[in-house]
Amino acid sequence: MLRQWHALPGLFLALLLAITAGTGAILAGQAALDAATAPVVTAEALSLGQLTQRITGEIASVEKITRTPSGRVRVTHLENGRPHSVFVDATSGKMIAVDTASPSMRFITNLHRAWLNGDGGRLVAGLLALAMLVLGITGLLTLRRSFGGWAALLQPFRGSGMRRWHLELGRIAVAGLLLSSVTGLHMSLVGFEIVPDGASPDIFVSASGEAARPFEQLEGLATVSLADLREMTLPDPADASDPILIRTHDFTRLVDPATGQILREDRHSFLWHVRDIAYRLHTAEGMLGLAMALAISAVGGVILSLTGLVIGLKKRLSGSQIRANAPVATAEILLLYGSEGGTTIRFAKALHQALVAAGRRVHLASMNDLPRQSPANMMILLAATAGNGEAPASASRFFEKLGQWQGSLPELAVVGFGDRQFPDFCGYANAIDAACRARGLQLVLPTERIDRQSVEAFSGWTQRLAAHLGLSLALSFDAAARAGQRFRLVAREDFGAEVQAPTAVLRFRPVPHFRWLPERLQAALGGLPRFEPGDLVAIAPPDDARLRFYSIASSSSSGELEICVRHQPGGVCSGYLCGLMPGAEITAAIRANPAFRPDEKAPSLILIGAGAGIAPLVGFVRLARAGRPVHLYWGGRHPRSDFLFRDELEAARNEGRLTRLRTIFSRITGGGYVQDLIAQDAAELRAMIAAGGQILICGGCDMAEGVRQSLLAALAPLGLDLSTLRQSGRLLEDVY
Amino acid sequence: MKKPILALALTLPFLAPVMAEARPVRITTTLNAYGGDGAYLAIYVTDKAGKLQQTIHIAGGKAKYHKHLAGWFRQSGGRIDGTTGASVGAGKTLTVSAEIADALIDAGFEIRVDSAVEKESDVPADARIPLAKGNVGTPAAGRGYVKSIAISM
Repeated sequence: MLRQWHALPGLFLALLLAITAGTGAILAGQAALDAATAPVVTAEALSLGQLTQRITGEIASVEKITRTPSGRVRVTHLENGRPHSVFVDATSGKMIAVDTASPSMRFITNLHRAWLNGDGGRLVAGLLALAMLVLGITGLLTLRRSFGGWAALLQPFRGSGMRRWHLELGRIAVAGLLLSSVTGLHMSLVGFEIVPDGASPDIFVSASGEAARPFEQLEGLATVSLADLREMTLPDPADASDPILIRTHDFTRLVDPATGQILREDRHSFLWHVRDIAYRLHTAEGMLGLAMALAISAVGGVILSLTGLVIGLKKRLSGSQIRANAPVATAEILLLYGSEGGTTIRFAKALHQALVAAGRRVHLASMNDLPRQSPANMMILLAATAGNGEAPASASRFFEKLGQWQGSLPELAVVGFGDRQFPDFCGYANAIDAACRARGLQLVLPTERIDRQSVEAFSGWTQRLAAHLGLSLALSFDAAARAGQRFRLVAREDFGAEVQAPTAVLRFRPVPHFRWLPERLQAALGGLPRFEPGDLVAIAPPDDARLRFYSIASSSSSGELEICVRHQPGGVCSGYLCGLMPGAEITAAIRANPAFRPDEKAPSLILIGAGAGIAPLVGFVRLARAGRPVHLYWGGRHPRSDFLFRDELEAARNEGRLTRLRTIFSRITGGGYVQDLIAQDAAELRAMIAAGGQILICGGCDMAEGVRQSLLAALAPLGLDLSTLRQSGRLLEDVY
Repeated sequence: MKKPILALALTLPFLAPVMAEARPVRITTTLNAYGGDGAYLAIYVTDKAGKLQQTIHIAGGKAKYHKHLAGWFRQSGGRIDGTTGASVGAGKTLTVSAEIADALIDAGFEIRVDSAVEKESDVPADARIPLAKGNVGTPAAGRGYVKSIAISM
């Protein structure tokens, strides 16, 4: 709900807000420049009588004397039948410069406050100020909710791209934008007379009508100094009954030009001061620091509007809003998510869509929005884990809400999302599991724990859920992957057929969405996928719902997508891929896998793999920067049959890019497995790891388990265990 | 519904002789191209001393700014017994017509224009022209935003 209040006005008003903020930035910049270049006023103590005497001695037909907020003295006079404004030196009364309001600044001012269009435009400007206020407040509240408290606003944000920009700029600019919008709104309300401007009533008094005396002899002017002046209007020379009008910070005074008597004096009301402060804070005239702060926040406002627009459009175009969300009162299934960064929501939405497509009425909401009661007979909870087993942002109040649950208890299924590299894997889901059991809810499926957002594991759990519900469920992001990027096979190399390990190295080129555009332009426009070695490509064979994931060996900058596929006996997808001939096209989606990438800061890399697990490792060798030792341990079956990437790896070793290439084969006499190499080199590896070296393992489960044992043994003398290495990011695994 | 029409039918014959003692006067006010926002104007009839006799036209719709038309406002208190219209842009011309009693013509009365531009100046009695048949075709110059004022009758 809160998010909608932020997103909808933002989306519809983004361009208008960008213009308001942009013109505001220019005006604030102008105010800053004006304040910075204002001369130091030396004659602040001068009385208005002396000041006026000096000015009228130098300039004829003076109509008005104004002290600008930056301290300049401006004189408006009629010259050649036209009003002119000049700045004068207060001490001498002489003109310093002509006040030229440039047409472009007037245009920008009118665009900013009235869209160049009278009252209608002023109304729009006022509504935009209100919208900016709403956006600022809802933005802050959304931030607080998603980061769990105000203190988090001061810490660095995670995330990337547009969202990151939006958040970072938001917290810098929000104070200035709130100030500008509140003061702007007040000015608008005063303009439309909804809030009174606090001006003193229009009661006119007439002067005595006698001959005017010199200004410096008038007592009513002698008691006010230049420092207090706002503006002063001199009488119409044709009208002897016209008094002198003085406006200061505190009062409005009418003075008889003949007697010097104060004819009337009205102290400014509270509302006048409110309006005055709002105006001064909004325009920041004469306040260099404020003007600069407002200019910066207004520039931030422009970027916030535009990034917000892009984020909102992307969200809507990608169809990630909840469609057909059943109300609580009629839902059969409550599907609640506890999400930290938004990934869990993606899973929840996909499941929601699948259940809706299967004809169920499902209410999707965050776990914090657990209702007090519901007719639903099933509740599904998808929960991420924040930190060490803590509740994620959108589930922070779940236990409290669960305590308030009334009515009958629905069936329950729980899915936890987490990362096996952290000690309390899916800790929060475990806590939910325990709390719900204690509350008497019955778990109809064992609680599933998903490692690093594995779509594969989630799809598997979905199928079990489908079986329990007696439904057929197809997850939409599987479909999204199927509707993904097209790739054409350009080359294949075959290995291992002789040793019963048929493996193919496949090289694909992405097929652009728009075939007629030059590839570079497409890449620049984001039309081509981007990936790095270690990222995953999701592929589903035709007529099969389940996605398989393959590690990528190449970088998208090479123009090719390279993977290594071991043809599993009876494997549907590996059989499909290994049966492709050059020229064939497949559909696939890239999934970034930032958790499996070499650390730039590690002094050395130890890459360990077996069989097709070589794919990301060979990619890391290709990207290795000169001077950093890279050691590759790899196990195959026979050097003459399945030595994948042999030529490339040997060339890399000869050129020095690969410090050490250690291979071992299982089907030759005296051969063995990769874990045997680890055991042999234990002393050396120990030294490298002690010095901060990073280990990356890729391959099958059995190989990984064997390697872990050998590593553990090798590291025992150091007193290091593998979970310590995992937590510090020095042991990464991509195991299948 | 019928009553106002009936009332009008009954009173019209009596009004006609009164109206014969007034005549239509066209007042053309031209502004300088001062390069700012539109000006508020008050066009009104005064005696030689500046005493308000009749308001002819107020240009500029926001009543709260009318006090800036100070010469007129001080005497009228903001009550408008003439026509009203939009503010007049820089360099533009405003022509208004009004019935002015014969008693005011060639009798020492004059037409005054007060002008005011937001954030700039208020110019009371910006332009003045005596209500005399001899002035038809001879425009008078203004001292502020008004470039000239002319009458025809």
